[in-house]
Amino acid sequence: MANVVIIGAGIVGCALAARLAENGVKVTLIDQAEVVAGASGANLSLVLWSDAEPGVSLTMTRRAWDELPAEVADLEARTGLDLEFRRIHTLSLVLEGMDPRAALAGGAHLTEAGFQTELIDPAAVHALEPAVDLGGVQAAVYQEQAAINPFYFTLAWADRARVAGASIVTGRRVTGFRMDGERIVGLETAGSGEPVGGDLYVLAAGAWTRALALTAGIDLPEYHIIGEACVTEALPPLLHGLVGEAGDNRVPFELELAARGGDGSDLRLAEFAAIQTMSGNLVVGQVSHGGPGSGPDGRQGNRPAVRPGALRDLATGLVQRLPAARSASVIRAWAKPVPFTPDHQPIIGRVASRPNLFIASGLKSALIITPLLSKLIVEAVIDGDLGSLRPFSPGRFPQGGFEELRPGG
Amino acid sequence: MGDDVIVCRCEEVTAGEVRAAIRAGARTIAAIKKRTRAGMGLCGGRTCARLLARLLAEETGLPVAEIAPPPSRPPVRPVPVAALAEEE
Repeated sequence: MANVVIIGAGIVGCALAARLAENGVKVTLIDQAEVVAGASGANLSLVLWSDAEPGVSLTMTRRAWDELPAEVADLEARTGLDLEFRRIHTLSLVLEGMDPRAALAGGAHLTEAGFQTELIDPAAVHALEPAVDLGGVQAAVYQEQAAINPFYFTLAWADRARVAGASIVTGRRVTGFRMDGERIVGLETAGSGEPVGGDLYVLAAGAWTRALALTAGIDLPEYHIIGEACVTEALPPLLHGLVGEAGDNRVPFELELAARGGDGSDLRLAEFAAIQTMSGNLVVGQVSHGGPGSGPDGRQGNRPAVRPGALRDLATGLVQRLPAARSASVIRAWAKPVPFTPDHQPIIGRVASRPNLFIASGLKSALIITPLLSKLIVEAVIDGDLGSLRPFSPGRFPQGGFEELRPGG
Repeated sequence: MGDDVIVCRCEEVTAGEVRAAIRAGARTIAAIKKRTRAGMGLCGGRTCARLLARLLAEETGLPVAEIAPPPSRPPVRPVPVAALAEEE
């Protein structure tokens, strides 16, 4: 493998660039904007094991979680960056009308894998998070998880890639693949610059993966939601961990969006969650919706705007749960496309009919799993064998869910 | 401008830190912001954006006119949570 082109400088693309370059591969990493411009940076900074199943397997998540502190320490030592990695608790508030046992039962598989998941009463919630208003709260699911600065985490991989000799091209949008039969022979890009080409093309473009794969004649069932969140000014310590609400409405929401082929600007889901960063800012999420850009013409989703009503819903949730934040100022908000797949598993591997296209996209909780996954992907790329990544192969999708388009079709 | 000059007052970011970000590959104001926090404070970058553009131009040789302004994010100016919330 002499020469690999990676499309997308999110956490997956940057980690792959670093590990491939460290294995002596010549790497070009290309991004339409800058490093960590998409979903890798637009999130609540959580390192979650609770997204396992659906999401990657518990075994892999367990290993990723156990290896993470050493991976972070190694990245920090190599780059001199402080990644702000810290253990935090996550509290999912069980509101009146919900069955607390059911909220906990959703985590039975996690307990079996040795992850601590337990129900605590409102007094215990108050002891952990005294600023949280307990109105309507009958219990909470308590989990010990972690947080990290997602910008620095991704930038550290980019720095590591550059030190290992990777070339990182930012501000250049890939508009499609240039094909010769089944083989990719180059990239079409907007604007000017040196032609970019290689022996193998790794598509790690998150929400843009589907639109780009279409230009190679491949229709992958990877869709995206638009996630909206906001940030307050820096405040004195108010929250110690993540506070959100129990109940997984996200999976049915995404399934409905997938059933519509990704198109659903009328579909909307508001879920309250808040965390305080090391700098003191509260990050408040999340309103999710589908969009016209979720379909195969996904380019429209490129720069979605924060919709009217999103700030209102985010602020309303915050005031209700954290009254002390009412006089704080909201200083910015974002709307970012975040990818998902119908079975919540990432898509990793070569597409059978496109010998030099490798997909690495669609992760549900990328921050926890990327250090491990990138290691396994690099082994797969070098050995030409997916090994333990086989369950994520694009070949898993049945006819109709995954189809090869006819050239020009 | 000396390396110890503070270019972003909200987040106390120096010209030296911005230059280091550019040396590490930042080619836009948005990229500088992600690495240094310049422009992430209360003023939303209104004070420092011009200085960041000037430093980018000096370090990279790009004309100032070709440097894209930072993306404008709602609510543009700080708005109190209570003013946005719908309260009973």
